[in-house]
Amino acid sequence: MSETLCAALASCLSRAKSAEVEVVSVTALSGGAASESYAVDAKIGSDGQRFVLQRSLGEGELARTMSRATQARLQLAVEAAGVPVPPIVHILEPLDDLGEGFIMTFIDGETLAPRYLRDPRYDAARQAMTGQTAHALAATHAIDRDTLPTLQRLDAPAQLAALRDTYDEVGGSVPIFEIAFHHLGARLTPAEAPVLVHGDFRSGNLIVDTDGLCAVLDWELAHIGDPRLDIGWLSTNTWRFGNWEKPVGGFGDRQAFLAAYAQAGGARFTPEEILPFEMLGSLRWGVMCLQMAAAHLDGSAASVERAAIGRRVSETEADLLYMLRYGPL
Amino acid sequence: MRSDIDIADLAEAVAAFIGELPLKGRQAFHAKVAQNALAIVAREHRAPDLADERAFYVERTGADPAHARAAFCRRIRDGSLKGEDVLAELEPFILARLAVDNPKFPTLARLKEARP
Repeated sequence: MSETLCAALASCLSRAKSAEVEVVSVTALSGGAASESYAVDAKIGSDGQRFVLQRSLGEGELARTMSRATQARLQLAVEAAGVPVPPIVHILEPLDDLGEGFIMTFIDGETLAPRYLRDPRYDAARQAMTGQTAHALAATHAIDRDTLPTLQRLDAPAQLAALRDTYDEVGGSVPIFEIAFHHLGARLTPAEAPVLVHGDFRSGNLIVDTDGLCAVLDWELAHIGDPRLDIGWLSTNTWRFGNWEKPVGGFGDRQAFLAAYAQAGGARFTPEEILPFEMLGSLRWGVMCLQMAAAHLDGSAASVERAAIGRRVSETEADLLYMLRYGPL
Repeated sequence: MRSDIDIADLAEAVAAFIGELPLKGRQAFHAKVAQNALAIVAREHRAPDLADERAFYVERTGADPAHARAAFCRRIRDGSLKGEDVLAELEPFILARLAVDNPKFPTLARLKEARP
Protein backbone atom coordinates (compact mmCIF):
# COMPACT_ATOMS: atom_id res chain seq x y z
CA MET A 1 0.00 0.00 0.00
CA SER A 2 1.26 3.46 -0.89
CA GLU A 3 3.41 5.28 1.67
CA THR A 4 1.56 8.53 0.99
CA LEU A 5 -1.72 6.92 2.08
CA CYS A 6 -0.13 5.48 5.25
CA ALA A 7 1.44 8.83 6.12
CA ALA A 8 -1.77 10.77 5.50
CA LEU A 9 -3.72 8.25 7.61
CA ALA A 10 -1.15 8.41 10.44
CA SER A 11 -1.31 12.21 10.70
CA CYS A 12 -5.12 12.23 10.37
CA LEU A 13 -5.59 9.54 13.06
CA SER A 14 -3.06 11.27 15.32
CA ARG A 15 -5.13 14.48 15.13
CA ALA A 16 -8.41 12.58 15.69
CA LYS A 17 -7.06 10.61 18.65
CA SER A 18 -4.89 13.45 20.03
CA ALA A 19 -2.08 10.89 20.32
CA GLU A 20 0.83 9.62 18.27
CA VAL A 21 -0.64 7.02 15.90
CA GLU A 22 1.57 4.77 13.79
CA VAL A 23 -0.06 3.11 10.76
CA VAL A 24 1.30 -0.41 10.42
CA SER A 25 -0.57 -1.60 7.35
CA VAL A 26 -3.46 -0.72 5.04
CA THR A 27 -5.38 -3.50 3.28
CA ALA A 28 -7.99 -2.97 0.58
CA LEU A 29 -11.30 -4.57 1.65
CA SER A 30 -13.18 -3.82 -1.51
CA GLY A 31 -12.83 -1.25 -4.17
CA GLY A 32 -14.46 0.00 -7.30
CA ALA A 33 -13.63 2.82 -9.67
CA ALA A 34 -15.28 5.38 -7.45
CA SER A 35 -15.37 4.08 -3.90
CA GLU A 36 -12.83 2.40 -1.68
CA SER A 37 -12.78 0.66 1.65
CA TYR A 38 -9.64 -0.21 3.62
CA ALA A 39 -8.75 -1.98 6.84
CA VAL A 40 -6.17 0.14 8.66
CA ASP A 41 -3.93 -1.49 11.29
CA ALA A 42 -2.49 1.10 13.61
CA LYS A 43 -0.56 1.38 16.85
CA ILE A 44 -1.26 3.92 19.54
CA GLY A 45 1.73 3.54 21.85
CA SER A 46 2.00 -0.24 22.23
CA ASP A 47 -1.74 -0.70 21.75
CA GLY A 48 -2.77 -2.21 18.39
CA GLN A 49 -6.04 -0.90 16.94
CA ARG A 50 -7.92 -1.57 13.74
CA PHE A 51 -9.95 0.97 11.76
CA VAL A 52 -11.89 1.07 8.52
CA LEU A 53 -11.42 3.90 6.03
CA GLN A 54 -14.33 4.42 3.65
CA ARG A 55 -13.90 7.06 1.01
CA SER A 56 -15.11 8.11 -2.39
CA LEU A 57 -12.77 9.29 -5.08
CA GLY A 58 -14.73 12.28 -6.26
CA GLU A 59 -15.92 11.41 -9.74
CA GLY A 60 -18.36 8.73 -10.73
CA GLU A 61 -20.28 9.00 -7.50
CA LEU A 62 -23.48 10.33 -9.02
CA ALA A 63 -25.35 7.10 -8.33
CA ARG A 64 -24.58 7.36 -4.62
CA THR A 65 -27.60 8.63 -2.72
CA MET A 66 -25.62 10.39 0.01
CA SER A 67 -22.09 11.63 0.58
CA ARG A 68 -19.79 9.67 2.87
CA ALA A 69 -19.78 12.61 5.30
CA THR A 70 -23.59 12.52 5.51
CA GLN A 71 -23.40 8.76 6.04
CA ALA A 72 -20.97 9.30 8.91
CA ARG A 73 -23.19 11.98 10.54
CA LEU A 74 -26.17 9.63 10.20
CA GLN A 75 -24.17 6.79 11.76
CA LEU A 76 -23.29 9.05 14.71
CA ALA A 77 -26.98 9.85 15.20
CA VAL A 78 -28.14 6.22 15.13
CA GLU A 79 -25.29 5.20 17.44
CA ALA A 80 -26.52 7.80 19.94
CA ALA A 81 -29.99 6.25 19.65
CA GLY A 82 -28.70 2.83 20.68
CA VAL A 83 -28.44 1.11 17.28
CA PRO A 84 -25.31 -1.08 17.13
CA VAL A 85 -23.03 0.48 14.48
CA PRO A 86 -19.25 0.79 14.12
CA PRO A 87 -18.30 3.98 16.03
CA ILE A 88 -17.19 6.85 13.78
CA VAL A 89 -13.65 7.93 14.65
CA HIS A 90 -13.24 10.81 12.22
CA ILE A 91 -14.98 12.48 9.28
CA LEU A 92 -12.39 13.39 6.65
CA GLU A 93 -11.63 17.08 6.12
CA PRO A 94 -9.78 18.75 3.23
CA LEU A 95 -6.75 19.10 5.57
CA ASP A 96 -6.51 15.30 5.78
CA ASP A 97 -5.83 15.04 2.03
CA LEU A 98 -7.56 11.64 1.91
CA GLY A 99 -10.62 12.48 -0.19
CA GLU A 100 -14.26 12.46 0.91
CA GLY A 101 -15.09 9.86 3.54
CA PHE A 102 -14.72 8.78 7.13
CA ILE A 103 -12.82 6.49 9.46
CA MET A 104 -14.64 4.11 11.81
CA THR A 105 -13.68 1.44 14.32
CA PHE A 106 -13.21 -2.02 12.83
CA ILE A 107 -15.76 -4.46 14.27
CA ASP A 108 -14.61 -8.06 14.26
CA GLY A 109 -17.14 -10.69 13.22
CA GLU A 110 -18.74 -12.54 10.33
CA THR A 111 -20.50 -10.76 7.47
CA LEU A 112 -20.86 -13.78 5.20
CA ALA A 113 -24.47 -14.80 5.84
CA PRO A 114 -24.16 -18.38 4.55
CA ARG A 115 -21.64 -18.97 7.37
CA TYR A 116 -23.61 -17.58 10.31
CA LEU A 117 -26.87 -18.98 8.95
CA ARG A 118 -25.57 -22.58 8.71
CA ASP A 119 -22.57 -23.10 10.98
CA PRO A 120 -23.55 -24.78 14.31
CA ARG A 121 -21.10 -22.42 16.08
CA TYR A 122 -23.68 -19.69 15.43
CA ASP A 123 -26.72 -21.58 16.83
CA ALA A 124 -27.01 -19.22 19.81
CA ALA A 125 -26.39 -16.22 17.55
CA ARG A 126 -29.28 -17.20 15.27
CA GLN A 127 -31.54 -17.65 18.30
CA ALA A 128 -30.67 -14.17 19.55
CA MET A 129 -30.86 -12.37 16.21
CA THR A 130 -34.65 -12.19 15.94
CA GLY A 131 -34.80 -10.02 19.07
CA GLN A 132 -31.60 -8.15 18.25
CA THR A 133 -32.57 -7.18 14.69
CA ALA A 134 -36.10 -6.28 15.85
CA HIS A 135 -34.59 -4.03 18.49
CA ALA A 136 -32.11 -2.43 16.06
CA LEU A 137 -34.87 -1.68 13.56
CA ALA A 138 -37.32 -0.41 16.19
CA ALA A 139 -34.59 1.92 17.52
CA THR A 140 -33.76 3.11 13.99
CA HIS A 141 -37.40 3.76 13.17
CA ALA A 142 -37.95 5.64 16.45
CA ILE A 143 -35.12 8.15 15.97
CA ASP A 144 -36.06 11.80 16.34
CA ARG A 145 -35.78 13.12 12.79
CA ASP A 146 -34.49 16.49 14.07
CA THR A 147 -31.22 14.77 15.05
CA LEU A 148 -30.59 13.55 11.48
CA PRO A 149 -28.87 15.11 8.48
CA THR A 150 -31.24 15.97 5.61
CA LEU A 151 -32.33 12.75 3.92
CA GLN A 152 -34.40 11.91 0.89
CA ARG A 153 -38.13 11.19 1.40
CA LEU A 154 -39.00 7.94 -0.36
CA ASP A 155 -42.33 6.20 0.20
CA ALA A 156 -43.15 2.73 -1.08
CA PRO A 157 -45.07 3.94 -4.17
CA ALA A 158 -42.12 6.22 -5.06
CA GLN A 159 -39.71 3.29 -4.55
CA LEU A 160 -41.83 1.17 -6.87
CA ALA A 161 -41.87 3.92 -9.51
CA ALA A 162 -38.09 4.41 -9.25
CA LEU A 163 -37.61 0.65 -9.55
CA ARG A 164 -39.78 0.57 -12.68
CA ASP A 165 -37.70 3.39 -14.21
CA THR A 166 -34.51 1.42 -13.58
CA TYR A 167 -36.14 -1.71 -14.96
CA ASP A 168 -37.17 0.15 -18.13
CA GLU A 169 -33.71 1.72 -18.49
CA VAL A 170 -32.03 -1.70 -18.56
CA GLY A 171 -34.46 -3.08 -21.10
CA GLY A 172 -36.67 -4.98 -18.63
CA SER A 173 -39.32 -7.03 -20.39
CA VAL A 174 -39.74 -9.78 -17.80
CA PRO A 175 -43.43 -10.79 -17.81
CA ILE A 176 -43.62 -11.86 -14.16
CA PHE A 177 -41.97 -8.56 -13.11
CA GLU A 178 -44.70 -6.69 -15.04
CA ILE A 179 -47.36 -8.64 -13.13
CA ALA A 180 -45.63 -7.88 -9.81
CA PHE A 181 -45.36 -4.15 -10.64
CA HIS A 182 -49.08 -4.12 -11.41
CA HIS A 183 -49.97 -6.12 -8.27
CA LEU A 184 -47.87 -3.92 -5.96
CA GLY A 185 -49.01 -0.70 -7.62
CA ALA A 186 -52.48 -1.48 -6.29
CA ARG A 187 -51.28 -2.40 -2.80
CA LEU A 188 -48.39 -0.15 -1.72
CA THR A 189 -49.51 3.06 -0.06
CA PRO A 190 -47.54 5.99 1.42
CA ALA A 191 -46.42 5.51 5.03
CA GLU A 192 -48.86 6.82 7.65
CA ALA A 193 -45.98 7.93 9.86
CA PRO A 194 -42.72 8.26 7.89
CA VAL A 195 -39.57 7.32 9.82
CA LEU A 196 -35.83 6.86 9.30
CA VAL A 197 -35.45 3.72 7.18
CA HIS A 198 -32.06 1.97 6.82
CA GLY A 199 -32.87 0.98 3.23
CA ASP A 200 -30.58 -2.05 2.94
CA PHE A 201 -31.12 -3.91 6.23
CA ARG A 202 -30.40 -7.55 5.38
CA SER A 203 -28.12 -10.49 6.02
CA GLY A 204 -24.86 -9.45 4.38
CA ASN A 205 -24.93 -5.94 5.85
CA LEU A 206 -24.86 -7.23 9.42
CA ILE A 207 -21.74 -8.10 11.44
CA VAL A 208 -22.43 -11.17 13.54
CA ASP A 209 -20.43 -13.04 16.16
CA THR A 210 -21.31 -16.14 18.19
CA ASP A 211 -23.53 -13.99 20.46
CA GLY A 212 -25.44 -12.52 17.52
CA LEU A 213 -25.70 -9.04 16.02
CA CYS A 214 -22.66 -6.79 16.60
CA ALA A 215 -23.19 -4.00 14.10
CA VAL A 216 -25.38 -2.77 11.27
CA LEU A 217 -23.43 -1.58 8.20
CA ASP A 218 -24.04 0.25 4.93
CA TRP A 219 -26.28 3.18 5.79
CA GLU A 220 -25.88 4.87 2.42
CA LEU A 221 -29.41 3.98 1.22
CA ALA A 222 -31.04 5.40 4.36
CA HIS A 223 -34.02 7.67 3.76
CA ILE A 224 -37.28 8.86 5.30
CA GLY A 225 -40.02 6.38 4.46
CA ASP A 226 -41.99 3.31 5.46
CA PRO A 227 -40.67 1.13 8.31
CA ARG A 228 -42.24 -1.92 6.65
CA LEU A 229 -39.68 -1.56 3.86
CA ASP A 230 -36.83 -2.56 6.21
CA ILE A 231 -38.80 -5.50 7.65
CA GLY A 232 -39.88 -6.73 4.21
CA TRP A 233 -36.37 -6.43 2.75
CA LEU A 234 -34.87 -8.34 5.71
CA SER A 235 -37.49 -11.06 5.05
CA THR A 236 -37.00 -11.24 1.27
CA ASN A 237 -36.30 -14.82 0.22
CA THR A 238 -32.96 -13.89 -1.39
CA TRP A 239 -31.55 -12.84 2.01
CA ARG A 240 -32.58 -16.11 3.67
CA PHE A 241 -29.71 -17.75 1.76
CA GLY A 242 -31.58 -21.05 1.46
CA ASN A 243 -33.07 -21.05 5.00
CA TRP A 244 -36.53 -20.36 3.61
CA GLU A 245 -38.29 -21.87 6.63
CA LYS A 246 -36.97 -18.90 8.61
CA PRO A 247 -38.49 -15.98 6.71
CA VAL A 248 -36.84 -13.21 8.71
CA GLY A 249 -33.25 -13.04 7.46
CA GLY A 250 -32.93 -16.82 7.35
CA PHE A 251 -32.91 -16.94 11.18
CA GLY A 252 -36.35 -15.90 12.48
CA ASP A 253 -40.12 -16.28 12.28
CA ARG A 254 -42.43 -13.48 11.18
CA GLN A 255 -44.69 -13.52 14.27
CA ALA A 256 -41.79 -13.68 16.73
CA PHE A 257 -39.98 -10.87 14.95
CA LEU A 258 -43.03 -8.59 14.80
CA ALA A 259 -43.80 -9.23 18.48
CA ALA A 260 -40.20 -8.35 19.43
CA TYR A 261 -40.33 -5.27 17.18
CA ALA A 262 -43.52 -3.99 18.88
CA GLN A 263 -42.05 -4.85 22.30
CA ALA A 264 -39.02 -2.69 21.45
CA GLY A 265 -41.25 0.27 20.68
CA GLY A 266 -41.98 -0.30 17.01
CA ALA A 267 -45.45 -0.14 15.45
CA ARG A 268 -47.71 -3.20 15.67
CA PHE A 269 -47.70 -4.79 12.23
CA THR A 270 -49.31 -8.04 11.15
CA PRO A 271 -47.43 -10.41 8.80
CA GLU A 272 -50.05 -9.58 6.14
CA GLU A 273 -49.00 -5.92 6.26
CA ILE A 274 -45.38 -6.89 5.59
CA LEU A 275 -45.98 -9.37 2.73
CA PRO A 276 -46.29 -6.75 -0.08
CA PHE A 277 -42.90 -5.44 1.07
CA GLU A 278 -41.41 -8.94 0.83
CA MET A 279 -42.68 -9.04 -2.75
CA LEU A 280 -41.23 -5.57 -3.35
CA GLY A 281 -37.94 -6.98 -2.02
CA SER A 282 -37.88 -9.83 -4.54
CA LEU A 283 -38.75 -7.42 -7.34
CA ARG A 284 -36.02 -5.04 -6.18
CA TRP A 285 -33.36 -7.75 -6.12
CA GLY A 286 -34.57 -9.00 -9.52
CA VAL A 287 -34.15 -5.51 -11.02
CA MET A 288 -30.72 -5.22 -9.35
CA CYS A 289 -29.73 -8.50 -11.06
CA LEU A 290 -30.90 -7.10 -14.42
CA GLN A 291 -28.90 -3.94 -13.73
CA MET A 292 -25.70 -5.86 -12.98
CA ALA A 293 -26.19 -8.00 -16.10
CA ALA A 294 -26.63 -4.81 -18.15
CA ALA A 295 -23.44 -3.30 -16.66
CA HIS A 296 -21.58 -6.42 -17.79
CA LEU A 297 -23.11 -6.45 -21.28
CA ASP A 298 -22.51 -2.75 -22.04
CA GLY A 299 -18.94 -3.05 -20.78
CA SER A 300 -19.30 -0.37 -18.08
CA ALA A 301 -18.46 -2.93 -15.37
CA ALA A 302 -17.74 -6.28 -16.99
CA SER A 303 -16.97 -9.18 -14.63
CA VAL A 304 -17.71 -12.88 -14.29
CA GLU A 305 -19.60 -12.06 -11.07
CA ARG A 306 -21.97 -9.59 -12.74
CA ALA A 307 -22.51 -11.87 -15.73
CA ALA A 308 -23.37 -14.76 -13.40
CA ILE A 309 -25.73 -12.57 -11.33
CA GLY A 310 -27.66 -11.99 -14.56
CA ARG A 311 -28.63 -15.64 -14.31
CA ARG A 312 -30.12 -15.09 -10.86
CA VAL A 313 -33.08 -13.24 -12.38
CA SER A 314 -34.88 -16.58 -12.69
CA GLU A 315 -34.64 -17.05 -8.89
CA THR A 316 -36.60 -13.85 -8.34
CA GLU A 317 -39.03 -14.77 -11.12
CA ALA A 318 -39.73 -18.03 -9.26
CA ASP A 319 -40.12 -16.21 -5.93
CA LEU A 320 -42.55 -13.67 -7.42
CA LEU A 321 -44.49 -16.41 -9.21
CA TYR A 322 -44.82 -18.35 -5.94
CA MET A 323 -46.07 -15.31 -4.00
CA LEU A 324 -48.47 -14.24 -6.74
CA ARG A 325 -49.89 -17.71 -7.34
CA TYR A 326 -49.62 -19.59 -4.03
CA GLY A 327 -49.13 -17.04 -1.23
CA PRO A 328 -46.40 -16.21 1.31
CA LEU A 329 -42.96 -17.69 0.57
CA MET B 1 -13.74 -35.92 -37.60
CA ARG B 2 -15.40 -34.46 -34.52
CA SER B 3 -14.97 -36.33 -31.27
CA ASP B 4 -17.79 -37.08 -28.85
CA ILE B 5 -16.75 -34.19 -26.61
CA ASP B 6 -19.63 -31.72 -26.69
CA ILE B 7 -19.80 -28.16 -25.35
CA ALA B 8 -21.09 -29.35 -21.94
CA ASP B 9 -18.12 -31.72 -21.58
CA LEU B 10 -15.76 -28.84 -22.39
CA ALA B 11 -17.43 -26.55 -19.86
CA GLU B 12 -17.16 -29.21 -17.16
CA ALA B 13 -13.50 -29.92 -17.99
CA VAL B 14 -12.67 -26.19 -17.72
CA ALA B 15 -14.62 -25.93 -14.45
CA ALA B 16 -12.64 -28.86 -13.03
CA PHE B 17 -9.38 -27.20 -14.14
CA ILE B 18 -10.35 -23.93 -12.44
CA GLY B 19 -11.15 -25.91 -9.29
CA GLU B 20 -7.55 -27.08 -9.07
CA LEU B 21 -5.96 -23.63 -9.31
CA PRO B 22 -4.24 -22.58 -6.07
CA LEU B 23 -6.17 -19.36 -5.47
CA LYS B 24 -6.96 -17.37 -2.35
CA GLY B 25 -9.32 -14.63 -1.21
CA ARG B 26 -11.20 -12.70 -3.87
CA GLN B 27 -9.58 -14.68 -6.69
CA ALA B 28 -10.81 -17.93 -5.14
CA PHE B 29 -14.28 -16.40 -4.85
CA HIS B 30 -14.30 -15.35 -8.50
CA ALA B 31 -13.02 -18.79 -9.52
CA LYS B 32 -15.99 -20.33 -7.72
CA VAL B 33 -18.33 -17.95 -9.57
CA ALA B 34 -16.66 -18.94 -12.86
CA GLN B 35 -17.15 -22.65 -12.06
CA ASN B 36 -20.83 -22.02 -11.36
CA ALA B 37 -21.15 -20.13 -14.66
CA LEU B 38 -19.63 -23.09 -16.53
CA ALA B 39 -22.03 -25.44 -14.76
CA ILE B 40 -24.89 -23.31 -16.16
CA VAL B 41 -23.39 -23.67 -19.65
CA ALA B 42 -23.34 -27.45 -19.26
CA ARG B 43 -26.89 -27.65 -17.88
CA GLU B 44 -28.28 -25.34 -20.55
CA HIS B 45 -26.70 -27.42 -23.30
CA ARG B 46 -28.27 -30.58 -21.88
CA ALA B 47 -31.64 -29.01 -21.05
CA PRO B 48 -34.70 -29.80 -23.10
CA ASP B 49 -35.56 -27.15 -25.68
CA LEU B 50 -35.99 -23.75 -23.96
CA ALA B 51 -37.22 -22.07 -27.16
CA ASP B 52 -40.87 -22.89 -26.39
CA GLU B 53 -41.06 -19.73 -24.29
CA ARG B 54 -40.32 -17.47 -27.25
CA ALA B 55 -42.84 -19.37 -29.38
CA PHE B 56 -45.43 -18.74 -26.65
CA TYR B 57 -44.89 -14.95 -26.77
CA VAL B 58 -44.99 -14.98 -30.58
CA GLU B 59 -48.22 -16.93 -30.57
CA ARG B 60 -49.79 -14.61 -28.01
CA THR B 61 -48.75 -11.30 -29.58
CA GLY B 62 -48.23 -11.95 -33.27
CA ALA B 63 -45.00 -9.96 -32.98
CA ASP B 64 -41.73 -11.11 -34.52
CA PRO B 65 -39.66 -13.43 -32.29
CA ALA B 66 -37.10 -10.76 -31.34
CA HIS B 67 -39.78 -8.43 -29.95
CA ALA B 68 -42.52 -10.81 -28.84
CA ARG B 69 -41.61 -10.91 -25.13
CA ALA B 70 -41.48 -7.11 -24.95
CA ALA B 71 -44.85 -6.94 -26.72
CA PHE B 72 -46.28 -9.44 -24.21
CA CYS B 73 -44.97 -7.26 -21.35
CA ARG B 74 -46.59 -4.14 -22.85
CA ARG B 75 -49.95 -5.92 -22.88
CA ILE B 76 -49.64 -6.68 -19.17
CA ARG B 77 -48.68 -3.09 -18.45
CA ASP B 78 -51.49 -1.52 -20.48
CA GLY B 79 -53.99 -3.85 -18.82
CA SER B 80 -55.12 -5.66 -21.99
CA LEU B 81 -53.70 -8.84 -20.49
CA LYS B 82 -54.54 -9.75 -16.91
CA GLY B 83 -51.50 -11.02 -14.98
CA GLU B 84 -53.53 -13.49 -12.93
CA ASP B 85 -54.70 -15.16 -16.13
CA VAL B 86 -51.22 -15.94 -17.45
CA LEU B 87 -49.42 -17.00 -14.23
CA ALA B 88 -50.11 -20.69 -14.85
CA GLU B 89 -48.88 -20.42 -18.42
CA LEU B 90 -45.64 -18.67 -17.42
CA GLU B 91 -44.87 -21.19 -14.68
CA PRO B 92 -43.32 -24.00 -16.81
CA PHE B 93 -40.98 -21.53 -18.54
CA ILE B 94 -39.74 -20.07 -15.25
CA LEU B 95 -39.28 -23.57 -13.80
CA ALA B 96 -37.30 -24.69 -16.86
CA ARG B 97 -34.97 -21.68 -16.78
CA LEU B 98 -34.43 -21.90 -13.01
CA ALA B 99 -33.59 -25.61 -13.35
CA VAL B 100 -30.76 -24.53 -15.68
CA ASP B 101 -29.61 -21.47 -13.70
CA ASN B 102 -29.79 -22.85 -10.16
CA PRO B 103 -31.41 -26.29 -9.72
CA LYS B 104 -30.81 -26.18 -5.93
CA PHE B 105 -32.76 -22.96 -5.38
CA PRO B 106 -35.42 -23.97 -2.80
CA THR B 107 -38.32 -22.21 -4.53
CA LEU B 108 -37.93 -24.58 -7.50
CA ALA B 109 -38.89 -27.60 -5.37
CA ARG B 110 -41.57 -25.58 -3.55
CA LEU B 111 -43.19 -24.55 -6.84
CA LYS B 112 -43.22 -28.14 -8.05
CA GLU B 113 -44.88 -29.25 -4.80
CA ALA B 114 -47.44 -26.45 -4.89
CA ARG B 115 -48.58 -27.09 -8.46
CA PRO B 116 -52.20 -28.17 -8.61
